[in-house]
Amino acid sequence: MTIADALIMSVSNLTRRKGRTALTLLGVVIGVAALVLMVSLAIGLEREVLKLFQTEDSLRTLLIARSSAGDEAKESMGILAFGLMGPPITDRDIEELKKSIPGVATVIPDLNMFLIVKIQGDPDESPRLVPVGGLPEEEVQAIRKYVVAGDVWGEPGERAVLAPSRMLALRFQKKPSDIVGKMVVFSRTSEDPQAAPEELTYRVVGVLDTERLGIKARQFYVPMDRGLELWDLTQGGRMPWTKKGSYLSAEVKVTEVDQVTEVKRRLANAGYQVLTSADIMGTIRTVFLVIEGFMACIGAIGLIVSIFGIANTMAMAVLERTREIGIMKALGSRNSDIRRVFLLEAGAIGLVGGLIGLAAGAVTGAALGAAAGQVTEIPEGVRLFQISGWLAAGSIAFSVLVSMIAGFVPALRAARLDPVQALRYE
Amino acid sequence: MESPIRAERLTKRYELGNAVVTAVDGLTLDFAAGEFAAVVGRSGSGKSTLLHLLGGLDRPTSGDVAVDGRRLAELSDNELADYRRAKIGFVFQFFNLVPSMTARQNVELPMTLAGADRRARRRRADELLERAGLGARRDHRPSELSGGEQQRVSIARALSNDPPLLLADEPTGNLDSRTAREIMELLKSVGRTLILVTHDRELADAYCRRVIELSDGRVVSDRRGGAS
Repeated sequence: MTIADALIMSVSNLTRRKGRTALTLLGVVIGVAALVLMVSLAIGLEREVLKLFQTEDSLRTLLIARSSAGDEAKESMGILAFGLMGPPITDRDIEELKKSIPGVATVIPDLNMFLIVKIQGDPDESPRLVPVGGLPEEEVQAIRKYVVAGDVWGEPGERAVLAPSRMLALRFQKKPSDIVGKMVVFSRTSEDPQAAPEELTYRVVGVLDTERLGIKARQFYVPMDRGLELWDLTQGGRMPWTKKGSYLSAEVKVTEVDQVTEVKRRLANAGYQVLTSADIMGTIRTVFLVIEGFMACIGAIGLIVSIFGIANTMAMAVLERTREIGIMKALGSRNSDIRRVFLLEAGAIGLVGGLIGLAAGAVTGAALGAAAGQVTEIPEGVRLFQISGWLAAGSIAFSVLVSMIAGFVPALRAARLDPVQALRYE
Repeated sequence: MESPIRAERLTKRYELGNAVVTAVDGLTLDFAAGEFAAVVGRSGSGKSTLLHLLGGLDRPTSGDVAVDGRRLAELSDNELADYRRAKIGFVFQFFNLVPSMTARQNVELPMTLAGADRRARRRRADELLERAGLGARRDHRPSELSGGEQQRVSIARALSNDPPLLLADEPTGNLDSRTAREIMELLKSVGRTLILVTHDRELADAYCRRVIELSDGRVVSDRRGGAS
């Protein structure tokens, strides 16, 4: 018996008991849909996070910190050990790096400031902590292309700030152009409520398109001089072991993205720990692989439960068709022919259930993503549930496999029926 | 010349609870090519079991069946299935058509099992149904056919792989006497070696040259030279 004929026979057998087949299918559909939904959420989150590291600005940025000499263990820990316990980077180091390494556009010290921000006209009075960074003169032109309203500051000494569009949009529900010209007050966090608020007022000169900028999507940028001023003001933002003129870490910006590898090598030779966007993405992928695996395990529970439905359906089918199996045997079908017909029936349930489940999972994911966008602060363009080719193919393959496993015992029993007994069966 | 099918000291015992039932007890029988033989006896005489053993549907407790010099005991389960498919056409009392299939699909089934080409299958099935007088009924399901029609379909099915040997187990047992005669005529007209199991001695005498009578699994009489 050819496989094609066995397949035709299997499918026509399934259509004989439409109600029962439909119910069994439903179990598989729900199982696959749940699996697809769970894993597609993990994939969606992974892709959205990775997107932040794939922007042009992220790709030309290397994070550096001093490595403490001879610590091999930290190397192997990669991203997790970054910036741990090394000596600080000084202003002199920064000047040295700018001069000595070709391809470096600038080096920006990380000020590591988290300040309370109040924005003029903000209906929400509750204080909000935001990251604030300083932008050196050399980078002003580079960041200009991310400005969506207003412009960069004119003078490096100006008390001006570039605000992130994502956060503003979330807080004000206004267009970026409405924010330009508003005053912003930064103050430091303090445990002592009696202490005089030390604060500085800045004017919003422009708004940055944070979707395109990448990782530092919530950061406010001020001119570097003004950033250092803020840094002096806000002792709380400064790491305890860094003095004025020294920093825990810094960002190296290269002029061209393809110089990253070479610059990384030179920085490492100069005794720095270096993290590129690619390094960070590698770690993120690893982490998400674990999350996706976990989600897949939970999602697979539904499908595994549907095994029992399939096994039951197949056992019933064998019982109902006992006499028919006897006929097939009398007409000369081998045991393997009978087994194959039943296995293909189970597999067909898995295949059809898998396809419908995949579609159901995709539709549900899209609907949930849209609904989540309505009720929470999810920026536009972010898709929470995303289905990869691997997920699509894998979930269907898994569904078919699981179904065939469920059909295996009934198929084996059908194949081993004694023909004389089976022919007598009423 | 070696006979095409030969039973040698064929014995089949069943265990029924604690009792051992001997259905076929040391039968040795030869059937000649083209022979039209009837096996008669009361129910429980072992005639159906004999047919199952000859057809390779069941294995004997001892003894053997030789077909064209090949011994069935030496065949594996798969080879036995292949033997049934290629060499044997079964016709049953209750027709045993697959209820979900049309007449044509039922006739095609043994060819489907043999892996025959779809178009060849269809052509042969139509031809066989035409010969059985059912050309117009080929797309009907068994439930839409009368008993006689169903038995004609089942004879067409038995012939589909062109086997040399037909084994019929009470093929007229469920039919009225007129239809029974029609079925017997049809079986006679196909010109194969036929071994017919029946309890209808009149029918056996009327159509079969040789009538073997079984009782308790043994041959009581083996008469030749009856009807031609």
